[in-house]
Amino acid sequence: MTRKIIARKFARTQHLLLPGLAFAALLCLHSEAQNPGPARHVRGQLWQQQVNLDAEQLVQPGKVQRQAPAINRQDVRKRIGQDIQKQLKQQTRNSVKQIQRNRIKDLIRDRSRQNLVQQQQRVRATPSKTDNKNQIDTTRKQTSDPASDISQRRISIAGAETGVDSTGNKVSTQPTVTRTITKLSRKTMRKTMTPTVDTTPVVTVDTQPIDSNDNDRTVKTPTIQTSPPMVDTQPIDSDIQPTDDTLSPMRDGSSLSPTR
Amino acid sequence: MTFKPESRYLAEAGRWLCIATIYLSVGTAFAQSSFQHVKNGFALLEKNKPTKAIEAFEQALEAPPKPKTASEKSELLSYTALACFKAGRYVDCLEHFDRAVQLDEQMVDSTYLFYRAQALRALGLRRLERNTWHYLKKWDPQSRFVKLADEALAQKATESSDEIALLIDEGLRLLDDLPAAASAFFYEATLRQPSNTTMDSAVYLAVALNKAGNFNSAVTITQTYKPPKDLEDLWHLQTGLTYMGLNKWVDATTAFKRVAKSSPHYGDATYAQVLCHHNLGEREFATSLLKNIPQHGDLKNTADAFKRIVNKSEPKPRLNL
Repeated sequence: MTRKIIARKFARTQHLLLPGLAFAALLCLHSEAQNPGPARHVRGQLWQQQVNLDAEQLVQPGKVQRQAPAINRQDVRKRIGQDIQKQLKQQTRNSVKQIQRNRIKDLIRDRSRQNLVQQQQRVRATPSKTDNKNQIDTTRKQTSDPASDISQRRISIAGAETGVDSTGNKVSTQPTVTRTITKLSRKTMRKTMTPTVDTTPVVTVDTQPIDSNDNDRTVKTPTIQTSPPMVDTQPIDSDIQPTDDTLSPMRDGSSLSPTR
Repeated sequence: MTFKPESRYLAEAGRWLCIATIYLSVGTAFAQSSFQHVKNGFALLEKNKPTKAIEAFEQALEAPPKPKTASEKSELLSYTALACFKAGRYVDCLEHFDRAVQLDEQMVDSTYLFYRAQALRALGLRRLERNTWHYLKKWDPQSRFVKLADEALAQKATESSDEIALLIDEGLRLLDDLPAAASAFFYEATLRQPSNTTMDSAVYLAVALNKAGNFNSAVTITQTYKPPKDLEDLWHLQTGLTYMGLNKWVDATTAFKRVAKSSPHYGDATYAQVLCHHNLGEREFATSLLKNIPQHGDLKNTADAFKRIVNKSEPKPRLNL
């Protein structure tokens, strides 16, 4: 019931809400303008006015006079001693604050170290992305068809053992050769074994004038010499110069020439 | 904007919020702010009512918005000092100006030096007055106060030896409440004595400067003067406290070590050493020194409390990585 009354009362006075808030905001702005704080000091004008009044003349020199009865100096020394204890208490408070600050620093450092240790442990426990990649690569190598690539052939590097090339022939291998073979894919091998045939005709256009001494400026058709297409009939193997790391004749005399 | 009767809670809250805002804003709008107190203070000074102006400036220090920076507070203190000067309260003037300078060194200018010299002159501290005039001329040779400085320096000041005791007594009277002003009296007494003699005014001067927080001046005093034999322990303690104030823990420890075992201040000096060693990071040595503190009095309680805190806050053994 009372709630209803309140709501009704508010419904009657709600039209005052906005003007009231606006009035309050204006008052706030007014007070802000009136109270800019001590930072906006008045020293510039009012201070100077007062100083100007005093800067005219010197004050009358005074005399040291006894303002109060003499003080017992022993009492003063006692009081100074007590003051020292007060100052030491103040210093103790400062030191305690320092201790607390150091303690917090220690805690933060310990916590960050702990976090670091935990992180390192986690890293050790779970393999990283690169590790995963390596694993995947290995599995792929292991599961792929061994016959698809020479490189997949498990030709032992150590010592001269017999390997099998892509065509199924037995190949006696040496470590150096093996390394080369493993690097060659089937595609490469095919490419190297196929002799290249240059089918483009070689057309040489002689642009020199036939007779340089001839002063006749008439345009002369250059002679076109056609030559039959050069066909390289040499097998590709012959071009391959034996080097340490490239295909080289086997020590035992066998070669990797294509058996076609 | 319309509210349905169902949203009665919101409506009621809004209504009260509106009333509260108006009330608060009216309050803040008509409350005397710090700035208004300052303006009032200067208006009162113009009307030649410096005593009321002092009150206005003191209220400005307490009224909101309170000075946020040391510079702002320093400025308000300088206004109070000015009003004190106009009211003829020269001791208060010295105190407020010194506090202002302590808070903000930028306050030191020819105007500050002029008022300081004038206040010292009015109090009869003629040696210090002359020093200040000289300093003013050196500080700003083109200042408009130079003419007055020359005039003051041309006048001969009469001094009597009886005044030294008076000066020390006056300083001791002011030591607790107005340490900066007290230091002026002690310094005057010290300057009036031959520099090669040992004097107790120098010890009191060091005490006053330490109390006022003017540690840099205190260092100069402790390096320039020598204490009488019966005040040596107090002197070493004050030297130590000065260095503590400047966070020079090694120098402070050296000074505290000089306090004799037979001295009533030996406990204080030992405890001060504990604090210094602790602040130097020598915790074990500091803890071992704590055992040497005399087992009685207020200091014992402080030392015990400190020991408890140190033990409690001792860092845990670090992780061995």
